[in-house]
Amino acid sequence: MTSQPDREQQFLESVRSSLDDAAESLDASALSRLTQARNKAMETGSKTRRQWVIWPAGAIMASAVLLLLLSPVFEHKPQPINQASLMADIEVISDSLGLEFYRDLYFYSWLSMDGRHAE
Amino acid sequence: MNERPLETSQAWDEFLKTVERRALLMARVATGFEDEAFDIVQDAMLGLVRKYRNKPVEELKPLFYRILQNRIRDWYRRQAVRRRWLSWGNMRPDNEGADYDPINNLPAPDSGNPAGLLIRDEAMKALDTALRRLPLRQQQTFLLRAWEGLTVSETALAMKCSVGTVKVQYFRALHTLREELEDHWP
Repeated sequence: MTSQPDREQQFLESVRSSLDDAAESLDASALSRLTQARNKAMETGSKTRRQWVIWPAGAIMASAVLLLLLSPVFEHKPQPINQASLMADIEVISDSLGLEFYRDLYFYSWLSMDGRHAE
Repeated sequence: MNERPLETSQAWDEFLKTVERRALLMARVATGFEDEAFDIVQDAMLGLVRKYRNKPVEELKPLFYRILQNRIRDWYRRQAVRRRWLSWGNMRPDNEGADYDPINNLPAPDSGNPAGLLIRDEAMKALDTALRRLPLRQQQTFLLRAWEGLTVSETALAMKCSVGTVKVQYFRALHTLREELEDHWP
């Protein structure tokens, strides 16, 4: 005579066996759909993984650029102001001849050269 | 990154292969619809890959079934809303109390639909019907414990409930199934 736990175990074995049979006997169409679902999930996973590779790489690049900009190589040193050139600039701006004259200096210089060649 | 993409990818593929058929049948038993079951399984696979990509494969099984169970519950919720709107509030039982769980008490979907592919012989037909008649929580707890072989704590994780609840649900399911299938498997 089989005990209660034994009968329960037999019952569970029968249930498992039937369910396993059902899982094993899925038709080709069902298996194909499952494969498609699995492939889609795996594809999504690899895309997500690639993004995870890209993000840290981008962060490293950005950090490198920032470090370079902050490094002594790129340190901005204020240039000493050339007093003579500054005075010349002020003269040009405040001159009564006006900016146009200085802009046309090249023309006047060419005109005088041209006149000499003509002689 | 210390991940080994190719091996990891193969291990994931192998893992999904080992659970996909059972997951599909569990979703079929739960919903009674083949297309819905496929959608649920695909969603669960996608959810697992997105959320637990960095987990070791050995830890995936309860997590996968947790997502699957979430998707099944979501499906039931949507069905409950549809039914409520269709029947305009007539589906709830009279003995509804504070502890009433509409998902747990939803009637099983009609087993006479085309998704009844479990049916191979009389015993299988009876098992299919008996499983579908069980309340969702009992049904899925039983399948996870008895068929998929999850431990009580893994089942609790998958079902989002306590260990004690798993034991109670499993016991009730087993008791009901043994009674209903007595003629086939005494």
